[in-house]
Amino acid sequence: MKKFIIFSIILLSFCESIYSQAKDSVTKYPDIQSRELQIVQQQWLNTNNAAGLAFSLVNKGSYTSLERFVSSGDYHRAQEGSSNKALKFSTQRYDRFNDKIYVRGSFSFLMNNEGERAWSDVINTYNSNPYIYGSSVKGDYQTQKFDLNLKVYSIPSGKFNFGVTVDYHVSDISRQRDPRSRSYSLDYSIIPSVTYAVSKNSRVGVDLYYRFDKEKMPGLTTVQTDPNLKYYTFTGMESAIGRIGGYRGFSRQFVSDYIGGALQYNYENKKIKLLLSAGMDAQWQETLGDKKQTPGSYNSFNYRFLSNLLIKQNNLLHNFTLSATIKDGGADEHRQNLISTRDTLTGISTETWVTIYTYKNRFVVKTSDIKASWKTYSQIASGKGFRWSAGLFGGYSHFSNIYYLPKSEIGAGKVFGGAEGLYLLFSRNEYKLEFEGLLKAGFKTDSYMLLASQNEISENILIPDFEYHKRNTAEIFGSLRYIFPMKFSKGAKLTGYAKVYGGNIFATDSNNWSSAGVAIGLLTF
Amino acid sequence: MVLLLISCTREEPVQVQNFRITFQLPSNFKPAVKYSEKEVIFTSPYATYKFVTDQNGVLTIPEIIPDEYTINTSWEISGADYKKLIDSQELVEDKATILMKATLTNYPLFTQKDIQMALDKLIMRTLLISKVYFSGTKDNSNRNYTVDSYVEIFNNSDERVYLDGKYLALAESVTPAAYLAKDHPNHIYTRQICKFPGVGTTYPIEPGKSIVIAARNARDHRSSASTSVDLSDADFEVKDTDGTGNPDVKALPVLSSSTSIKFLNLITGAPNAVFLFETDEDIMQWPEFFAPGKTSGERFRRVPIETVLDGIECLKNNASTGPDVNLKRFQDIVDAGFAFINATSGYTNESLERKVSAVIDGRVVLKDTNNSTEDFVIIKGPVPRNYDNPQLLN
Repeated sequence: MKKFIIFSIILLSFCESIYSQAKDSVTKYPDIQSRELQIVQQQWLNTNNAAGLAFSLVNKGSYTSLERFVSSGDYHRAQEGSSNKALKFSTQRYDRFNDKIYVRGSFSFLMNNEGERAWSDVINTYNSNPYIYGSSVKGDYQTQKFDLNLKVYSIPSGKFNFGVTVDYHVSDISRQRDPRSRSYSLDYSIIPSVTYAVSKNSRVGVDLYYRFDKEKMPGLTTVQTDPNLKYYTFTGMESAIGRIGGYRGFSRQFVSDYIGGALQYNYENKKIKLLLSAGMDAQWQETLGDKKQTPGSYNSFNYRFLSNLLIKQNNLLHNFTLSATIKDGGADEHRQNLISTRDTLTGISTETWVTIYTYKNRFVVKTSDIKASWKTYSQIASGKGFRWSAGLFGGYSHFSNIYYLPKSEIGAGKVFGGAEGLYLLFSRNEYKLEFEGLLKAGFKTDSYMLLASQNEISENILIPDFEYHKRNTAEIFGSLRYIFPMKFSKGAKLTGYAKVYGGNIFATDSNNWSSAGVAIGLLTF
Repeated sequence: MVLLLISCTREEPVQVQNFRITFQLPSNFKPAVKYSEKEVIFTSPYATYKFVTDQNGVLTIPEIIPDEYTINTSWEISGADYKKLIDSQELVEDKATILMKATLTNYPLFTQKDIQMALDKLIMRTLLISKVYFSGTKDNSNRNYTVDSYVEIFNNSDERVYLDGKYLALAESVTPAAYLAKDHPNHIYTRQICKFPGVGTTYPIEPGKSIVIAARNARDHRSSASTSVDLSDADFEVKDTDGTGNPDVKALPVLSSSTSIKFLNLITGAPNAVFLFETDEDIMQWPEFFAPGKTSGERFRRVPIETVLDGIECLKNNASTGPDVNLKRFQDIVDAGFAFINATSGYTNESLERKVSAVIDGRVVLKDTNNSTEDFVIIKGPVPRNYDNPQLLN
């Protein structure tokens, strides 16, 4: 953690020093909307290919925000909490090392208190490694996350252009009630990339992806002594064992390696910009306990497709997107025996777990998400942002979890669609007031659950989750943002903003999930 | 379409097919007698399956989930029927109960195999250990309370049985284990042996009745720990002499012990391997042994397995792995399975109690398949001499 904080400070200091070098040319206040439009047009930002960022630049500047938001309700899955109270600090900067190398860096810190959560002490509970663990007793979970992202890319001088992305995430999640767990997560990736200009209007790109992540839960503690407290270890669907005192001596870690890559094609003329990207990555994850104990391993293949089309038409900017992600995950369950070996001379026994059988793909998870959207921006002639934006979107998402021998299965699909828009209520000089709204509806297409047996896991997790997925939803969201120049200091050209927002998801059977937040921030050159 | 394509890429785990067991009856059975149409139970940590043998005494399972299974089967017949099935003369009372049984513990059933299982013959004993309570509980100040342990012995026959001269014993339970059953098939190495007093007909147990032995203290423990038990009317209290402890309760002295402890030293969180045995020999002449590799410390008196009347193997529950069957002190012929309480260190008011098999003319008959995994159930909140608990009927 110390290394990470030091690295963050160095990075931010470095960006700030670049800013200091460049601010001589500053003549006016930076415009937040203009920056947002530039980011919309930086299509390659939607891929992992950093080299492509050079084809649509974003002005130098830092966008920093501090946000406090809460959410709560009863429309949530069984292994999720019923409330969140979070504080987030984030900053993002575009800048350049020199005339040939540009950089985009971002950092965020999130503190969240998730209330009344049970049945999972891990970070990734759903549609993932099934060998999770947790307590049936609801408790609060405190999370801290640090996310750091750095994209470095060259400015094209020939047919080739190069870039690299580095991602670094650490997080810490701790349960505030017996049995008390604390998990640490480290996740980093490095993604070198290159683009090649095929013709005046066409480019192709490729990126290669390596990622490592590790989640470690060294052990659990208790403050009270409840002799009947159970701890559950899962192997998939309703297959789980709850042992009284099972938290004693229990530790586990998940260690993953990912490799992957993606190919891109980009076409661009004065009016049209098209970016196509298709990629995949493969994950291999080991689940480890004490004395070489391992309940199983998990692997997944993740496929991604993206199409992003920008069309400029007079003062309108249209953005059409089509994206699809597909996950094909599987877990190999191990049957192990604890082998005890005693040294006849010293009498000391050593124990180790030995795998005697592996069930290939005993648990299989598949997810697919497809989304299409159209959004248009009515640009202000002076280039200072946009008057309004409007868009439509729709999509389909589906998941299935299957446990074999005996077969249990749960799955559900949902189509969704909606409209979103933003309108500038007020604009004079650098002062702006904008309203943004969203309406969305989701309808169940199919849902099914077939269980081999009924037990407390099916009763407390799978059946409530099944009910969750069966519900149709309607969502409203609205935000109000006030943008203003910060004129208190003549030397500094800063644009600030303040934002309030709120929304609600209405689900059938009178379930709902509401959220609200306030944010303040500023944009500098 | 893409999803459909991807969904076909993963191979599914497969079941073991056509697993076959041929059961062999004891050699004194007539060749024409087969182990036909008998129930065979497969138990894994996750599931229990029941199958039935065919007319030739062969069990063929078309498909079964690969796993480690404990395979159990038993066939109970009367002495009269037994004599009709064998081709030799054998002195067996017509009223006696004969149990044919076979057990394979933790058999790794991961591939197709043809195996054979030989059935052992067992003359059913009349005296059974019916309750063992060692977990302790929390007292009224929420402190650990461990002095309320007891053992109950039940007459499972339809005739009066006398306890006089029989022995109640505990197998050694040191860590690391000194004498495991798998290494010592013919003897049990004991930590403590108590001998019931009497001259032959002093201490009868009526059919369907039991006697209670307070391991430490024969009093009403409920005054100190409301969740505990009333042992003030116990039949025996493990102590040196009458008149001490609860003066109204007869002493059951420790005759042989590897330590100087004067009470029956049931361990709060297990392991506790408790057994009854009977012999005409002077047990003090039986040899004692140090733990392997040691020349000092505790010495464990060795008991021949053929003297055992009944035994229950109570293993320690491990928080992450459950009980370790490799640590059994009892051979399969004494207890083909094992029992355990949920707690890993005790104080949970849990008792191991033998299930009720039937009630015949008002007489309770307890389950006795010589496998404590099948025969015993965990009861929270034990009551001595009580066999009405609905959980005992499962």
